[in-house]
Amino acid sequence: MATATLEGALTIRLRIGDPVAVDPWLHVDVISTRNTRLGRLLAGRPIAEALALVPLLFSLCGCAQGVAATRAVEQATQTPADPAIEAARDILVAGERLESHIWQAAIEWPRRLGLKPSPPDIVAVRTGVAALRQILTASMLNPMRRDPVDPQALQGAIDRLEATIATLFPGLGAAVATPSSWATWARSADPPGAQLIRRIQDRGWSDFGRSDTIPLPELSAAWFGTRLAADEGFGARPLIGDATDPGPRAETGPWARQQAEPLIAALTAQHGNGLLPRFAARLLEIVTLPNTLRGHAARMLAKPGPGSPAAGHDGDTVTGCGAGIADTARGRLAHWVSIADGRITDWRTVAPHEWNFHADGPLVRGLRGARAGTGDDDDLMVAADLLVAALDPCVPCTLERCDRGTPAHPGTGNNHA
Amino acid sequence: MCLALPARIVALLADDEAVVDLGGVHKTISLALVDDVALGDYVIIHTGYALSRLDPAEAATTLALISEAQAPAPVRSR
Repeated sequence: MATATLEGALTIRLRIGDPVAVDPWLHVDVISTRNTRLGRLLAGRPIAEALALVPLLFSLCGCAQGVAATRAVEQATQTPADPAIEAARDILVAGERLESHIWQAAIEWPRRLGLKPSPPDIVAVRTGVAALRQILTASMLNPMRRDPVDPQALQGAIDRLEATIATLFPGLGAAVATPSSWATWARSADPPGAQLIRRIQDRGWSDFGRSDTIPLPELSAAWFGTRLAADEGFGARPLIGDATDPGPRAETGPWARQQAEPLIAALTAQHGNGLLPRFAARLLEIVTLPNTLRGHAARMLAKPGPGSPAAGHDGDTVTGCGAGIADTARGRLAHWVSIADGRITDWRTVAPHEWNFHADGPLVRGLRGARAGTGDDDDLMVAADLLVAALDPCVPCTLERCDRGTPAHPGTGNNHA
Repeated sequence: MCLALPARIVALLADDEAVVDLGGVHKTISLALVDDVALGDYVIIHTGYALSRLDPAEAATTLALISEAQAPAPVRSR
């Protein structure tokens, strides 16, 4: 197949019911051509070769993919990493999360607001994250040396990154402290994040996309390992429950992660998982990630570190299964691997996208609740596009509007979905 | 899953833009996020921007891996 189409795409078709007749609600068809079985490309390869290939396959979350894969292999081979190394990996994954969030704020949000994207903002943050990466890969994460990290260099890099964020989002750090400071910031500040929040509030879209989906619980690597091992289709259609009792539909990502934050709890109490709490959670993560990095750095520096190259495993004979997780900007990512005699026999993953764009998940249920025919159809499409942005698909996504009266997509039935 | 597909620069345009060849499909992209890109270089692209430059060996490895993938069947849902 053509390389350009291998990435896949997401098409969301909205059929708006007749405003006065039978059915004024919105119907949603989701057509996904995303490849969820790339892991099979790794089958048959030696462990080290497979691990080297994983980060090459993914553009925005290559670091998290590599970390989740490595953790899965370490569990399968019963060679757990030193706690200091685990903390260093968490720093890299959190840095990648920040880069991805800034992409949204600098490119995707301005596009939807009719503003000019700001690539220099991304360059500034990428430079800061690259400095962190350079410090760690030259020391603690250098597999041939495992040298201690220079604490001052690391703290300095985090401080500079925090200063960059403060420059790009003035006032946001104080704004996320309380609902009232948040409201003041959103009314008066200038960054695209504040403009986006104002647009949502002014148009009455704070609740748009609200549904009964729950925040994905803090599920462990072992939980993901059990589900991925038992069901080859889990990576394409994940559920908390099973086929007979699917359980509540779940959402992963910033809103799910930040439920304990007072601002997000307050906004959620008022607006559920509508647009406002979802975008607020992403903004909160942007401004608090430097502190998250400090926490990981403190964990890392509190441990002496291995001080020598990893002992590793007997690559030619090792056999076992294992799972690993990492938290990307879009949510929790999990890998599961099966190894026999030092070679990969199966590799399965579940990406955050599959929870959030599940055929009966947060996007579909959020749109299903949107009343069509009571407002302007163009407005509805703009709000739906913001919901897509809030859930942040990892493949190109197209929203299509079907004319009133258009039959449902073949095979989709006549449900409100 | 944000697949990293290597795209080859086939033309450099004004205003920090370029045309890339992605498996036979030509697209115009922005080079605002990468420095010193030359004709024939491979880059990873995302929503119209070159994210990073790949060295030829990395690009060849990734392209070989991707060529092994089979076409996914569309999954249709409600």
